[in-house]
Amino acid sequence: MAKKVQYTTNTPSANTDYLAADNTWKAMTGGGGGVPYTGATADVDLGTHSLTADSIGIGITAGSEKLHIDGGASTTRVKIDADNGVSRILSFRTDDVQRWALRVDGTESGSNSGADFQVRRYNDAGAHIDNPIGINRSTGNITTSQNVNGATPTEMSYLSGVTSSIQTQLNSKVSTSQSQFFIVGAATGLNAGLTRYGNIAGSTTESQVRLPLSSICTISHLYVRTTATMNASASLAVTLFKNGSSTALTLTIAGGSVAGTYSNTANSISFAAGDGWTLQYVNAGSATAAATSGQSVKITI
Amino acid sequence: MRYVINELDEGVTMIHVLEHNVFFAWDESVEYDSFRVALNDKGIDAFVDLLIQDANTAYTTFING
Repeated sequence: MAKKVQYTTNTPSANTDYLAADNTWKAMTGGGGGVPYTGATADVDLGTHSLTADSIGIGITAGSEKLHIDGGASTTRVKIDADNGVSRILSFRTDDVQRWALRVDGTESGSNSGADFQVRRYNDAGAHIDNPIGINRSTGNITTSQNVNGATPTEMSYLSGVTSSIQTQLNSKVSTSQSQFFIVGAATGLNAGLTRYGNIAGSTTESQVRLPLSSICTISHLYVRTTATMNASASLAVTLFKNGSSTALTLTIAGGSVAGTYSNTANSISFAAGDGWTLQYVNAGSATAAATSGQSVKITI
Repeated sequence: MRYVINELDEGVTMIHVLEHNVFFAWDESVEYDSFRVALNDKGIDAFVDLLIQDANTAYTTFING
């Protein structure tokens, strides 16, 4: 037999009794709303009315937390559902003024479009500032309006298109550093017919003075400064060597040339980490070449 | 263009033979009087040809030849 609440008036009050599950009449001490605190034997439907409580427990007795949902051993899900195009929002507030929100926004039109995710921030008056984090539902792309660990959105966009060898690609996108490498000359010039490596008074064997490079780089701007007029029957050729082979970064100071600074700024040679370089000095003439005070190259990393 | 000529400071003039990266420079001193005479007589292209052939002998050949 269906159980019915026994009303004493058309307006239930604290004095109204209801028939509890144990078939005894109990006072409806909550009054007014017609919903017993305990002992409901069927789903309670408040209709369009509101529920106000100090704390709510779902799947568990309400405790000190305002809302406690306990699914126990079952998968537990909290749904925030709305029609297409309607925002779904979790709002974090201070004295009921917005500070942060997790929000799903955007009208869906197929192909996984719309309903994108946002982390939104608000100013002291509760006005929306921007979305520090956004995630496109269709693509999964994460966007930000603010810096990440000091990197601006533009700087982070430099990573766009990176498919492999991140270091190599970053090297091509970030600003480069440059340095000059100097080699001290000698008081006397290179004797006729001699070849030396490293410096004017260096080794006769290139591999003995080859300098290993620790980073990918380019070497350019070869400068050589002579301190006296080149003998008319001499010359001095200075050449950058890469892994034991000559390169296009070279210059020859012809016999008879006045003392001065000679340079090759037109050629640039690329190196990988682990490559080696040195300078070769050749006097193919029949007299001692002019002395040099030093040489330099520019290394761009 | 086989070469470029640059006027440097202190009256120094430099020829750069481009493809061979051979350089020759002279100044306004009397030491290069013979060179200037030869340059006037034979032209710069003749000297460039010699520089390409042999940077060790070009100057001597140019002023004595």
